[in-house]
Amino acid sequence: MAGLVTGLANATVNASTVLILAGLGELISERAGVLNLGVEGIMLVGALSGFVTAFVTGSYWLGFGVAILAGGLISLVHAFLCISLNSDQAVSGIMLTLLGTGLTTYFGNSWSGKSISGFPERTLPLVGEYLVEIPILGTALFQSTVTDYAALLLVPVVWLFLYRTNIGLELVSVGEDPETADTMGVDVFKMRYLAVVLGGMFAGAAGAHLSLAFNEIWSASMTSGRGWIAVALVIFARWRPERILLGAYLFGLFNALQLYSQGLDITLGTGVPLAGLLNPVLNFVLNPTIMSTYPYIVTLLVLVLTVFRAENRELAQPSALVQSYSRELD
Amino acid sequence: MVRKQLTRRDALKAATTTGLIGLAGCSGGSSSGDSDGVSAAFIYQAEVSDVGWDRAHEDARQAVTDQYDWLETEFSEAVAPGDVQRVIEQYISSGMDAIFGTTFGYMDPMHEIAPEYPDVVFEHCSGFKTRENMGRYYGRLYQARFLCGVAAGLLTETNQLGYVGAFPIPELVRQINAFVRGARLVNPDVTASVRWTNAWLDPPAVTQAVNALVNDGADVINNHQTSTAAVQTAADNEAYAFTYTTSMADAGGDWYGSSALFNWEEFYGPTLEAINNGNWESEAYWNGLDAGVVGVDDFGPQVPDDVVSEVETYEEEIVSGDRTVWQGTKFEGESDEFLFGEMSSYVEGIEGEVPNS
Repeated sequence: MAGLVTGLANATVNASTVLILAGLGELISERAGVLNLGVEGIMLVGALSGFVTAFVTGSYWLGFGVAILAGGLISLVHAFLCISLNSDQAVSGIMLTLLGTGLTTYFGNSWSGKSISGFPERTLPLVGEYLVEIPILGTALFQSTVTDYAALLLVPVVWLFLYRTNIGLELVSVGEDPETADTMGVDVFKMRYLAVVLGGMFAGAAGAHLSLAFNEIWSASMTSGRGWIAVALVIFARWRPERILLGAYLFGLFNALQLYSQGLDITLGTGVPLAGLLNPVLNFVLNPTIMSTYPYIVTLLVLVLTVFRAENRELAQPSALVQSYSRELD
Repeated sequence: MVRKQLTRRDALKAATTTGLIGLAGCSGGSSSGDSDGVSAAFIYQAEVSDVGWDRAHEDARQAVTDQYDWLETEFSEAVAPGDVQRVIEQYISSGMDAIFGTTFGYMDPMHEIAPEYPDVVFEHCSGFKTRENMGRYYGRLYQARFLCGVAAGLLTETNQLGYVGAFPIPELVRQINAFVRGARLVNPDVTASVRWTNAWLDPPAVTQAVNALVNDGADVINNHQTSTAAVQTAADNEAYAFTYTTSMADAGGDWYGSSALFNWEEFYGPTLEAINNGNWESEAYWNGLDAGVVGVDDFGPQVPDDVVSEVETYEEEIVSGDRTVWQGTKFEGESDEFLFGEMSSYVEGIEGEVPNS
């Protein structure tokens, strides 16, 4: 049982890094008022460009850097369409996902099946070997790749950036009320461009984490919908960076449970009252396909609950989300 | 994405048959048996990459194209089932004699379109529908999985095997059963555990699943998903890895077990010859080790010689017909129809039950 819990903890933390990185990126973009549904496509661009760079140069660090740059570059397309041309954000984002998926499938074709040696798992210097001894969570948290540590570290960094720096506060203000921010002298276009590109860089890093640290392979569509979970995660976290961490662990736990619960016999014995009725229910609830929908069901629940808790609503979604901004006053 | 090269023969054909394609059947001008050879189109659902399902078909296409000077082939990749009829019609209008559709999703579109072109040979891989001019073909990959199982049973020290599946359909259940049967035949203490990822391609989930299986004590892993993720994660955990369709020796390194391979050229070769000689007939091809259409890859560097020779003994028994995979299991004596389309429970030694898909 202890082995199972430790395994589950490891799997949860492992599955959450990609969600933290992509989720933080999407949060930054949405905080400035720009919804980016292209996360999935940007992640794939990051995963492929990082992998190819690491394969060719032998340096996973260089690969990681290139993936971040590529994520930022491709998200410029979204920024240009939505911020400069005032195009529909949802359409542009979905287009970016389709574009990223198509391009990486085409150009990544000859790279599948190749392996690299990516980021190794490391313990922290000095204290690491003691921390790993901590029961259950020790190996999960303190024997990880650099990208896992970076994701954890970025949660407070993004929080500080958004709420404790001038530029971050300007970014948030642009997502709440672009007109007022503009009047106050904040360059709405520059801030939104910054937010979208920064968000793209995070998504690029999330993709590179998959191909350089988690799997160390390239495979077409290897993100398998995790970009969409990241979008749901931002809603679940109600646009707060610290809740991204909580949500990523929760979604990561569902992901891990789906695989670990299959090894358990969870049927109730005949001695248990109502076993005949409860077993089909258990079967349904623990069916792997049903379990993979849990992150979305939980997100729906959060949305529903938000409606009933009106006092919290104004703290949640950026007021100007999905609204394009034009300086021409009418 | 149709790759089309216009040849002189195509041009001549186009010049003489323009507007008359529909009448070809009446005029007896069928291309089969003609001295001008055979042209065949191969259609794949995904882009062909270095490993996996489409790679195995593409390798075979290249092999037969090199082998026969009377044969010309072309291929299309990334063709969605919804588009396959249009692609087929394009090929037929350019004079193709035979169409090979290589994914389950093409079955209904091909079945629908085949009667419209009675002089064209249609062959569909992995489905169950046929027509007078549409055959179906598949390989008994489970026989190769069985041999991998024999090796796994001898290699395991924990007596615990792990298997990562995609979807719980008969095709996968059959291969899992064969693998575990092979292992238990040489090592009755072996048990196996299965994890379903509910995706044909999801490398991170495969990695998680392999970790979960290793965590449970498995030291030999097999899998059914189109990527090297399982092989590579198993190697990271110092567990032996077996896989399927193409070799993944590079990804497995020292811990590579082997792979259950499709050698489709063993089907394509004779079939194309039959088309060329004019004696092709629609049939349900489901051959295995004896026909060479499935096989086992070279074993990894750490697999001892006595394990390999034990596998070879079983291989000979199956090829000679002295043994079947299902001998001594509850599936002994079941019909091919059952084995192909209805197997939906585990053999002895596998934990749990097949989930409702």
